[in-house]
Amino acid sequence: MSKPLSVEALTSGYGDVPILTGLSMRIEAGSSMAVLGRNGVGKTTLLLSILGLITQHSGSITLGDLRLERMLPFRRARSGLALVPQEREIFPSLTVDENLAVAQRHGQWSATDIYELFPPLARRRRNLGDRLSGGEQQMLALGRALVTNPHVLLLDEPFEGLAPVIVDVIVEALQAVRKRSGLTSVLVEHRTDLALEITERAMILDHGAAVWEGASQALALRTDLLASLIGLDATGAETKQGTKHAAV
Amino acid sequence: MNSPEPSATLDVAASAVANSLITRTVSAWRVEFAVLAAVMIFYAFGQDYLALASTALVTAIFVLSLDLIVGYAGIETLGQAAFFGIGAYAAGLYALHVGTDPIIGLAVGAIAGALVGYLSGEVILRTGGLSLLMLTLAVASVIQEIANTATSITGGADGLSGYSIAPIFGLFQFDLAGKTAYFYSATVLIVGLAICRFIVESPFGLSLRGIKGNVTRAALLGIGTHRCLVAVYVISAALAGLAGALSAQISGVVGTDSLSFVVSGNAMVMLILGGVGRLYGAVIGAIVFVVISDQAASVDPKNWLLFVGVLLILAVRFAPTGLAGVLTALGRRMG
Repeated sequence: MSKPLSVEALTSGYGDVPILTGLSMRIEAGSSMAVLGRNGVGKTTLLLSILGLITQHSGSITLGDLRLERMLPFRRARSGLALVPQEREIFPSLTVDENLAVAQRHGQWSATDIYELFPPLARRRRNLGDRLSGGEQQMLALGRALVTNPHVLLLDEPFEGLAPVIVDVIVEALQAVRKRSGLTSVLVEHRTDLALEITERAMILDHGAAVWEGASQALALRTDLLASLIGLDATGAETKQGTKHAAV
Repeated sequence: MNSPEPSATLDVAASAVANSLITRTVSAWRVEFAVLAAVMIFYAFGQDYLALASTALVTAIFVLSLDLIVGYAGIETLGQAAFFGIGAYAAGLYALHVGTDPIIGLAVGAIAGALVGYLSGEVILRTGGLSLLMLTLAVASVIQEIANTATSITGGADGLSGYSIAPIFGLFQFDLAGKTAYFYSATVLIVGLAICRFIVESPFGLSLRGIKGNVTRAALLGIGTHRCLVAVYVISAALAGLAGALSAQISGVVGTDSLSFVVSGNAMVMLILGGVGRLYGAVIGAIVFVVISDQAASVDPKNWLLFVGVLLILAVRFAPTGLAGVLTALGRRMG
């Protein structure tokens, strides 16, 4: 079951140095949002703040009716947040089966469902985490987040370093997940075209604050904004990826 | 063609079920069976060395407690002797002032170890790395100094002695030949090994391995990492306390050296030698270390530690996964 996620006037950063300054956002239950911006504007910092991994100076974070800002990271995870981290961070000394088992919580997603979602992973279920390809690791990272049966899925650069064919697999999996459980999701992604194709709403960050928020389809047409705030050229040449995907 | 008699078919089916059950039981408990077999074989051929063997078995329990936290939870420590010594003193004081039942004495040692493990673990496990290593060392040093100073209770440098231990279950008297102590230690080791294996193969054990792999990632999967670490630290401390209590009951004396850094350091050497994170590696390492130390000391009483040092260097250089890792690799190669 998905829940809405709200961030109000959030100021947070590393120690005393704030990176996000008074940022607010709201993602409705079952909706998906792309968080875009140049390198270093605070995209990953936003995810880390939501998860309680960095210092929060002020503001509030709410999951459904639950205030999260005073909770420890493991309690936030138990409350229904799940992260697919940029570096995947698979447990190297655990098998694929064990990587899923260690995360499993009661709900509609189980290891069997993950193996149905990613058949290549089923064939590697007894492999250790460090004996997987990058694509398989990304499948496992997504699967491991799903078996926690979260209310909100946070994805940090999930397509980074993946071959186009694996990107397609992950995108199709995200679509299938959305169709099945209608998860609320936040996607931090530097491949702007792909992020806008597979999300309903988008937000652009600059200098630790939200400078634009709206429908992803609308932003995809605003080449001026993309050029000035994200650094893409007017033709968007950098973003041409070929495959088109329906919004997740 | 005649069909088989129904009763014969049932017999065959029952036999197959029984065989399958035996095979599965032996497979699941193979380490415990191997230790039991080794204990029986040694008893048959090495009765002159039962005292040394008992020491090795007690040491194996202690190293097993270390493997639980180092090998499975990634808690680095140089102060495991604190729990061994506390368990030894608790069992010795219990026997001296309260009662002589050995099983209750073991429980007292385990509880004392667990209590100190909880009190220290709650604080020091909030740190990590070198800070944690130093804090574990500091805890052991403080407890050793307290034991050294509180002479009216612990006997100070002279040690705690003068207590007696009743027969086990009222039946098995501790004898001079060391037979009772040998089988008593072996039984405790096998039970301890089974408990440790149950723990590491449980979902809790899986969480510990996750925490060892990446503590932040484990927390973000909803695992209460601090609580898990404290829990395994307490279990490990209880097992170390149990080993200490066993040592106190068998030897009849407890000294402040049971709390020393040397005891902690040697346990770490044994674990590295045997293989970290395998449980049976702790048993192999302890037995090999005790036997080689004894033999080396009989050859050269002054420089026997040199042998141990060379052994450790060779083990780290040529068998980084320990003797257990070498045995596993050999087993795989032989199919």
